[in-house]
Amino acid sequence: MVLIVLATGVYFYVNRKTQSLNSTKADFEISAIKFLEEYSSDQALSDKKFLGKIIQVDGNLKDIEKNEEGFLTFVIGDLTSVSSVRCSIDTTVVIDESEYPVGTAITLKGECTGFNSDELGLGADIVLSRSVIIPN
Amino acid sequence: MLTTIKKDKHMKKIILLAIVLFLGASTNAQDKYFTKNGTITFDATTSTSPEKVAAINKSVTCVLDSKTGNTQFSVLMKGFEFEQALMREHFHENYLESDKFPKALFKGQIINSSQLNYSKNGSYDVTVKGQLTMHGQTKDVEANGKLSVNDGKISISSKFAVLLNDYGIEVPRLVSDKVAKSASIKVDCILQVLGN
Repeated sequence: MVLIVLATGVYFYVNRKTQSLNSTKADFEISAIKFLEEYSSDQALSDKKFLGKIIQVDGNLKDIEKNEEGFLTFVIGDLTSVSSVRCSIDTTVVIDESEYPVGTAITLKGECTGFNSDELGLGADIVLSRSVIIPN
Repeated sequence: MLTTIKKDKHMKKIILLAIVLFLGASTNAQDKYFTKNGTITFDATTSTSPEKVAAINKSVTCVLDSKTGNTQFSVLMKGFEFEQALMREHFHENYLESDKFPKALFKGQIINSSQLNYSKNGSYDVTVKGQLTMHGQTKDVEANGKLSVNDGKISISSKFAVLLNDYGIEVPRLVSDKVAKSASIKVDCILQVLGN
């Protein structure tokens, strides 16, 4: 009997699907501007601190990008800066983009996948994956 | 009379030079293309695996210089998303060691770039040659692909194989019936002109 329970437990542990972050508590809560400042000043230290962690980030919505496969990215940060926090939206979550006008304040939660320094004059980016929108 | 003719020639040269410089300056802006939303999937599923060993990265940065054919891809490894949580953990923590090597980089050149017309709609077979740095190792890579020009946007797609061992990515024998020695990499990017 115990073996069956154990076996079931192991089965579910091994086969668990990646959950959406809606029910996961953030490791850090930070503004997009401060997040970019920290990463820009010391990337190695910031990677140690943030890489793989769940970050709740707030800022102004600069743009909503959709790639050819329909994957959405919410670009947030300071409207006057070229650097941004790019939040790749969790594909299991359905979003109505029209609910989020560009220029308004927004908060998202995602997993930090790292930093792209400014190489092309396009600004530096922090990229969050599996992002979900935190309702106001 | 002679002096007026000389002045005219001089003026013409200046005007011509100005036109050439202007054209040169405006075509420069059209030379570079980029995206920050490129997609790369990797698939290392064996024929005997009960589940798919695959992941997708949707935030790939790609830059292409149409003048030289030089192209660069930048991939944040933690951005590879897996359907299964355990597989994600194994790949990032054990095989790819994404904390130690957070970024993969490909720097190369489209070999037949000079034969491509980037200013007209069209589709071309291309070969890209360059170096891939992943998991701290750099190796030469040559891949075939397709480049299409569509209303000012450039789409690049390619599929090639990568031997995990070449990059020091060690897959334990315990899962070798599921995880293949060679991973199939699929690249899909749509680039827009830089500066717009």
